[in-house]
Amino acid sequence: MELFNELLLGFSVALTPANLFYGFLGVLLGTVIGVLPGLGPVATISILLPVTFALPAPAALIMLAGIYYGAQYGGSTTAILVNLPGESSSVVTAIDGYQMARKGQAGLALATAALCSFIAGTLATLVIAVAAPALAEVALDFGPADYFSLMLFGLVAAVILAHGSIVKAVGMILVGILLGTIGIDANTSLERYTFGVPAFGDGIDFAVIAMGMFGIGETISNLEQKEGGRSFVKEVRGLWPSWADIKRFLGPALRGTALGGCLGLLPGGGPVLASFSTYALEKKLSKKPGEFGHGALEGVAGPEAANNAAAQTAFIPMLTLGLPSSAVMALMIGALMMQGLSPGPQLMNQRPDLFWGLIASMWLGNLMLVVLNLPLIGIWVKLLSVPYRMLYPAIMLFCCIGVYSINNNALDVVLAAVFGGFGYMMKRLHCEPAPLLLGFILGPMIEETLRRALLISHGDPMVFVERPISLSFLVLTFLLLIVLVAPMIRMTRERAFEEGAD
Amino acid sequence: MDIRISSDFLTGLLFCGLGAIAIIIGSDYPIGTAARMGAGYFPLLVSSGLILLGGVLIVRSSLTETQEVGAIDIRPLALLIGSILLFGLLIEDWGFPVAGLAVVIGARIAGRQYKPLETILLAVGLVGFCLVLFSYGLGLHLPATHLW
Amino acid sequence: MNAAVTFTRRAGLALLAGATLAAALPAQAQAQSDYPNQPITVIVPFAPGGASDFAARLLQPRLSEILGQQIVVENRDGAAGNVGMDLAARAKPDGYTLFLGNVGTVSINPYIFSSLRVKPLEDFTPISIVADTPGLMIANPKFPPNNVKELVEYVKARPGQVNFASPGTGSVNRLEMEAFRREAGLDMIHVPYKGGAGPAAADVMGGHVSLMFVTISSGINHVKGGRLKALGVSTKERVPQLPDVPTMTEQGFPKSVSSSWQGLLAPAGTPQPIIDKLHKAVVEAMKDPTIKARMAESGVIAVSSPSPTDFKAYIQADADKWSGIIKEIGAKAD
Repeated sequence: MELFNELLLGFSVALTPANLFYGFLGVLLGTVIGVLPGLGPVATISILLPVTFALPAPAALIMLAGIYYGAQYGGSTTAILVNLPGESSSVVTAIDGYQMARKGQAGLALATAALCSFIAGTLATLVIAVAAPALAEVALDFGPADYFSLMLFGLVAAVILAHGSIVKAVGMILVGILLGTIGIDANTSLERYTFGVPAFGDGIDFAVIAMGMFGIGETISNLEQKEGGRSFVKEVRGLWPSWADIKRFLGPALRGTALGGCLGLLPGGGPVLASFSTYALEKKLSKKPGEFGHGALEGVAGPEAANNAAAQTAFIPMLTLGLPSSAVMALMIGALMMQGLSPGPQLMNQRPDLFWGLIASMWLGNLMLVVLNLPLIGIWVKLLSVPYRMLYPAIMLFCCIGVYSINNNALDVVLAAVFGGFGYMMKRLHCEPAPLLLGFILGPMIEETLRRALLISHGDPMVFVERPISLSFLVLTFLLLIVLVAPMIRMTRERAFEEGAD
Repeated sequence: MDIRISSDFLTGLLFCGLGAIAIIIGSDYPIGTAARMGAGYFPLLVSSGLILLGGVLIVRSSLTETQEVGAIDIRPLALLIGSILLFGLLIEDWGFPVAGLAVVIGARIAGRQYKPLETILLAVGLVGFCLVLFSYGLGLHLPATHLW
Repeated sequence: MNAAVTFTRRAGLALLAGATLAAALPAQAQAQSDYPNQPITVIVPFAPGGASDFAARLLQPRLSEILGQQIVVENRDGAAGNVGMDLAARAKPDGYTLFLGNVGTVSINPYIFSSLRVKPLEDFTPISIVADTPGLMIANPKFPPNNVKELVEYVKARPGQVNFASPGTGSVNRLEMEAFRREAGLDMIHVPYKGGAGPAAADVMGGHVSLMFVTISSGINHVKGGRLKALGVSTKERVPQLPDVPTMTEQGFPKSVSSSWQGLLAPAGTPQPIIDKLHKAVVEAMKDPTIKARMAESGVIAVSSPSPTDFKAYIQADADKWSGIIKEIGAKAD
């Protein structure tokens, strides 16, 4: 009953016409900027954050939450439509979403993404309302050794993403990890592989590699194909999911929500880990794993639900402890500080209107996202029927603007071009870009946590098996390896056959 | 251009090459110990793994028959990448409108159906649209072009 | 209703107009008497929402009012603030581009990063300090020592066994602990984090690392909430927000007085009259009660330098102190 009253208080704050308007404006602005390739939630919020400083606290937070969800969904939109994952957690969406779009199912993919995000957002918001403080404690229990084992598990799971050769997938992961070491080493301040360029100090931006390897590389191979006036997609089929589709995506959406909700609590790679571990899970559970990578609905539903649930529960450590678990949350804390508020347990007690208002507005943000984006799907899909010769120059221009705008740095655009060439080359060598990107995202965290865990234990490697959380993940990793390796021997013969026919 | 070499072999060569380059550049990064890893420890570990995998691919390609790389069309590859590079080189000194026109026109030339009039109209339209929406509308910082 | 949208559009237009003016009328910009006659850009070398951004945006409205010109805050983050500092150092020294430097970028980075081209004391003319954030020594509540004296005894009995965290290898908080460690003759293991004080403080809360220095603004709420305990504060006198926490000086470590400061600088070569005008404006702005109150809420002290030369001497002393520590511990990256 208390919860009901608190939620009521929250909605009474969030549901004023002005706040609803700011929420809507946030979702709209977030979607528009988020659709620009390369500008994910962090960049979008950075650009729009100063706008909110002039607003009263509840309106500012509601607008920011709207921007966050809008930008995140904008990233998925481009991932599905033109194979450009706007942010790290939509890399996985691009794999099957884009294949669906090529088959004329862009509308279905977008609607599935929006609906699954909404389901996940609603459930995760409820979890925050009910159990935020208790869950925050769990997040604190995770030490560096536990993170390391979790990330290791994530990397091994990344291999499942590939539908081709496992050796090549592992190689691409390692190339990604190597790319991730570029920049200033956090432990020693030594510059690694920066060639003395200050802009390389923070490493290469994720979006630069993603735009190059996915967007530019894909466009080159599309241009190569001889059939001239071919339009981009086959005939467009039903925009809306049928009952059969809904039944098909409900299971993955719920599993994705559960997995994403848990992983979102952890700092760093929450949404990314969530989206691809869900993909791996669905591929393993599926009766037709062969469909994955060629436009499986489950491959869009699960990861989209997972990354939205994770995006939601990432608020928990920030709201209850005042600890930012990601760059986006650090920005949110900054926004709160500009309003003269510091998040943490005090906020919950001293300003319950804000705390519950924020929770209510999270849900409203999710609702507005669906309300705004479902009608837009028709327009997006129409865009795809534009002749490809008009479409791809526009995509290239948007890529350039997006990549340039991340840091206002022309060097990023040059690098994206280089990665475009690299991406095309790897495609021709039958190496997939997704494992590389995941290695690139997880690599730095693996190194960081490995070194930190061993520093803390004073060099004793037993720390990884003595801690129960860490040990459980190591056991899971080992089991996963067995699952992966066992069919490999059998597959070696089949693969020669399969590749020959490809 | 038709490349009649096994794709596995080339991938293996590439992995070995990347690993070797990383080790050579990183050769003066301190390795440290497991308890106090230096900046070079982790990259060395990863690069060695990459070289090992590359070796596996090379050996495998000589044992079993694998697919060839096949034909590569140089025109879209070179021109598309060239036009994006051009954008990067032009944006700071010449401003967004010039760089934007360059990338759209370059991208169109990279394709097979280059029609001058359509290309110019498309380029001007797209650049104008982006200026209005992103630069004026959303306040993104896109350098202006000065013609004087 | 539409405030947010028009705000950005206006800012965008103003920037555009500013850029056009700057390019078209280079000669006239030398007219110092009518300075400022166009918007002034303050480069903040960190992302929006951070401590530097906070200071800049608090200052922005009042400074605009005093100078009668719009102040545009531009966040150019990257490489521990070096990207923004490099950009500001190379800007035209006409008073229309300023730099919000802090202890890290100006007094520490030059001694940590060998590839840094900027020499802050040569490439910038200091204007005034604006914010002073003391350091706070925090520990996990279950960590046995309750004050600095007990800490010294505890660590002396367990050399090389106690771990301390920091928000980064070259962070002022790490150097504060190193300075204390050397003064007390303690052997502790340094565990660096990245991404601000948050992740490091979380591991201290979780008990994975025992203690660390943080800026008082990032630690005060956790101490008040009981998730962390404070062992000492790095000011000469106790801070009003945490009256029960003794200073490091009180506890026998007078050298452990330090601050994470923020201050306004101009590219070297900016005409002296402009520097003086800006200094006067900052001093006046920092007297503003709203700014003082907003800063105090988060544990930051609003301050200003008596003169630009004073600020320069302050930076020099700060840089000498930290570069000495960096040399001793060998934190430099080569």
